[in-house]
Amino acid sequence: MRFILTVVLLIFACTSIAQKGILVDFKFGLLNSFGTDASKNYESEINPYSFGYNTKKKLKHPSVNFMAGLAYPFSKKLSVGIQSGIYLRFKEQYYTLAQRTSVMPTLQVTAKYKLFTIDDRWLGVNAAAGMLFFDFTDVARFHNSILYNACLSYQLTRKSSIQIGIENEADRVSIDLKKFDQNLFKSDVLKYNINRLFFSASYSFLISK
Amino acid sequence: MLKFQIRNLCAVVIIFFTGCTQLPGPLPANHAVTFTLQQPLNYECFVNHYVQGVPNTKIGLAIHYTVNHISANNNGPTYVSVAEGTLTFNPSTDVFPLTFTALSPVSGPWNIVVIIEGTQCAECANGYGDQQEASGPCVSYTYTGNPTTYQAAKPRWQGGAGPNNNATVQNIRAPERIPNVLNTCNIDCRIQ
Repeated sequence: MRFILTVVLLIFACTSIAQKGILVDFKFGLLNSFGTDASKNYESEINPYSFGYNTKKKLKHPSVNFMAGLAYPFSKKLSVGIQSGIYLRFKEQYYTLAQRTSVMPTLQVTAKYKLFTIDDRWLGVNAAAGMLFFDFTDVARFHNSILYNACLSYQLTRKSSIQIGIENEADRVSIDLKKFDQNLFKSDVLKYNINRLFFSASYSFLISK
Repeated sequence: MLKFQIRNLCAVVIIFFTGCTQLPGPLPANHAVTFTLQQPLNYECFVNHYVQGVPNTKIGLAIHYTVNHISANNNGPTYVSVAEGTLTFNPSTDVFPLTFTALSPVSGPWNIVVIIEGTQCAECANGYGDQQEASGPCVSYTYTGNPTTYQAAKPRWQGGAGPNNNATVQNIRAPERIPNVLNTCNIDCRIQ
């Protein structure tokens, strides 16, 4: 909850500090997971146990995000900043078949580079890297995610643009095999990442000049 | 005006999504999975001691398996058995790795627990650490070491696998003796 309040306060702050020199924008995005699932096998050294776990797994449903960003234009073409907001995930299955709806705050570093203009509308590339914050247990503990996003950006109007690209998230997971299977002899904590690829599409609008 | 709209939007988001909800999902379907069970650890050491004298045959085994679907929430895992069975291993005709087929969930998480029990007594077994190994009509055989006394018993092993995928072939590692039991094999068997 404290993360959500932080994000809300940040959004309110953005509406207030929009001033000359700092670019402030809001973004609404859609993400759809794709790719094939992959798994590995872990042979516990302290238990007579083979444990299979996913290294890649796509989400079942599209998700959305809302973010606010601040960017400083170093030149007419390059701007660098941060963005924060929330990701909404609907009825996803993470480890068991239980369905979980989640709100995940995020904080990302962003960079935007304008490549060239087409009919007075610029085409550029955007990159972002940051964290998704969450912490829940579904047999395994899912604890935050590192994400990267790269997309093409195209100006629609003087203050709005669309972005289409790819996003990769790496969920950090840990599981105590002893809790997974109480027949085992000893605790053995396995830590791994689950990578998820997404098509991302977003619409953003500037609220600063 | 824009600021006001954004604040309203944020308020709506906060009200509707103040946390995470977790709903139970349906049990997955089952399909046939082939398991490859490796030889229990030090199995060759556990020779038949039903009769007095120098034993020279490996003991027979009863292999119990249970396949469980696992569901869970923050309170911990819940197991629902989807298949159970017992295999008999005759050392004169059967060999490891042993393959068998059992129904298993098509998606994880699920696990298979394998408990192997000797059907005959062996002096390598230790009837003190794992109380269940002490049961059975084992003839009197006691090896007194320092400071522990070992007696013939029906040994037990435990193993399993916890797949989280839909592969139709799964490997089960060599089951081990229950821990906290001193491995007497390297003592008793060596002094035959």
